[in-house]
Amino acid sequence: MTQIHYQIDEHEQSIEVNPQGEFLRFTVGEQTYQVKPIKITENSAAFIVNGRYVKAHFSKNQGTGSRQIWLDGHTWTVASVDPRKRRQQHSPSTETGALTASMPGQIRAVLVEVGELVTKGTPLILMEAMKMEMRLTAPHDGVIAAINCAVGDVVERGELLVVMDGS
Amino acid sequence: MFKKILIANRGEIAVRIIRACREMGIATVAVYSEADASAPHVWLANEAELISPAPESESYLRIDSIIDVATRLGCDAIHPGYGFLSENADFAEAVIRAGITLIGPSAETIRQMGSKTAARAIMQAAGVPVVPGYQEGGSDAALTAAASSVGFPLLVKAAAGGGGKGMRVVRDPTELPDAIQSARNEARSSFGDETLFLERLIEQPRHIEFQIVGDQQGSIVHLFERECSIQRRHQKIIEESPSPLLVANPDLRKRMGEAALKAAAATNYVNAGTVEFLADDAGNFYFLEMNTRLQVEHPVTEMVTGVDLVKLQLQIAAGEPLPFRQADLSQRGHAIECRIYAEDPASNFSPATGRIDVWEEPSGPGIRIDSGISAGDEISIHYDPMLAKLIVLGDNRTDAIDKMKTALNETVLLGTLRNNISYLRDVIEHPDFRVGKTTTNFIELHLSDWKPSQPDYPDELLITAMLADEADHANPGLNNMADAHIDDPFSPWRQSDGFRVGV
Repeated sequence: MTQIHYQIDEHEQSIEVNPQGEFLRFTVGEQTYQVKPIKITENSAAFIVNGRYVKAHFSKNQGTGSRQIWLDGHTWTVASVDPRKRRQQHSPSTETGALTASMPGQIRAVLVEVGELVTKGTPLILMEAMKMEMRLTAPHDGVIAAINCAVGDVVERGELLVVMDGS
Repeated sequence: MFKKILIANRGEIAVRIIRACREMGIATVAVYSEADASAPHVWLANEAELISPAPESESYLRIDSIIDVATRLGCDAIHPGYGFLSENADFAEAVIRAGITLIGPSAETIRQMGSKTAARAIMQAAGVPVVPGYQEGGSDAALTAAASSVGFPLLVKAAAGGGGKGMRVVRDPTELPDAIQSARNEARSSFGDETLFLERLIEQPRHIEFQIVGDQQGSIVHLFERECSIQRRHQKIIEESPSPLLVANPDLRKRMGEAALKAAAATNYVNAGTVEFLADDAGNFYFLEMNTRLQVEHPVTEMVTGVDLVKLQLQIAAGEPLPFRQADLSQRGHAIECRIYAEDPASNFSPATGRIDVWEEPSGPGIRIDSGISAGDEISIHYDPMLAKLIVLGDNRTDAIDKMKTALNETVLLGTLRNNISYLRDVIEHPDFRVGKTTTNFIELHLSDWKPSQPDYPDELLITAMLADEADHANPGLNNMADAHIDDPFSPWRQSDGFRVGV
């Protein structure tokens, strides 16, 4: 018997599998499914579930444990979760006032200076990607403690751009 | 006919043009930036050259580099596609000076139609209805004085503008001074030209454009209309032909078609172009602008008329006369196009770059997909986020909508990027879209609060996840996360008695 816990968007569900002759018996909660895999490739799975033919596509699991799965016209993000590891995990610490890029792009303008006092909503950084301009604004009143980027930098989603003090 | 053509573009339109050339036995040259080194257009062309690398976003704008490649490789024509240099009169002139044919209208036409105010003036003189407006430019005072004769509500627009930039809506005269200031600032920074003009705001119009094409012998025809009212922030996302309004009102089509021909004649138009109008349900229509290039949405016209517009462009540029007269052309069936973008509708449509792991295109009778992507591609921040266009041709509009829904449901795009496929599906399923009540504020009216609505996941999803993890496990080195869980010596994955996972 093998059991894996998965996270699908915000939900969690565990699934069990047992061999059953030429089939695999999967159990999800109260439901059991008799599955016969037909063709499994790096990016797709064709299988029969309780007599029904199913074809799914999926993207790579890049070692983050998460992948996208397409089924019947809809796409979900599914991640395998190790419940033991999760209990030991601290919630990711966020440095107070750490402002990160919400999308990848190029820095077009840095509108503030270190030490400057800003109010909530003040634009701090202008970024551009795919011909769209986006702005990073102050989430609360405070002082600019550090600026971690410069005009012309190409940044990834999640990269630290500005650190603010105060709240 | 030309022997070798350089395509000064990228993505799906470069692929489209290369295909037409291949069908005609014309050799092709692609140019690319470093970000596009493995893009489909590079590999489809007979020859390809890297254009100077940085900055990436300007690679396809480098006039000198492009003409240099064309000259060295012996190209006798250049096709500029859409966007980039396609409406740059300086580029057109430079190409001609280099002794190369540009696939498109003359540099003069490009320059004339490139100025919104000049275009309006030419159309007015030709008897084409234009939106009431004031286009003498000038000072804030002059604009303010003219506003009352233009009428409210009105738009303050940048003369050199496009794409919705440098535009402000004014409903009340008191809002005018601020709107003028702010439009001037945006116009100056976006286009380097702060000249403004005023235009009456036509409320809830439909955006209906006519495809025109003229040969070098002076014959001009139109290939009917496309309706492009489904727009988000002035960016088209869904287009169709015929227009539901004109199907209900064939006399209006006749009048608009005649106006489009007048517009083309006024510029002695050669090659393919588009005359854009705004039309209201009362049967009024007004010239908006003329685009002196092939448009993104040209496939819907191709599907209903059966004419290959790119091949036609090449034939005209090579001096051949139009192979048909106006009376020979007709519309058959109904075509709809959906643009697939690398953007995250759940996150305010922010650009969603990343790697494409899986790309499966739908196919079947009446289904066409124009794409510039393939699995393994990295979609970067440097270019427009449009990945592909999905076009369907149905017997009628209802059939086309059903076909589009089916095709969207068969399109698989997976990886680290995000896309707008579920959004497109919700738009075409909207009851007002179904009955053809499409105006340019459709998205704002019906989908401004849109959130993705996923059905509950089926258990087959989890079964797939486990099978996928096993596929990785069977190929160690791809990923070692699955190992963490499969530590059971009795695991079915370990048994060798007939349970096979094949590739």
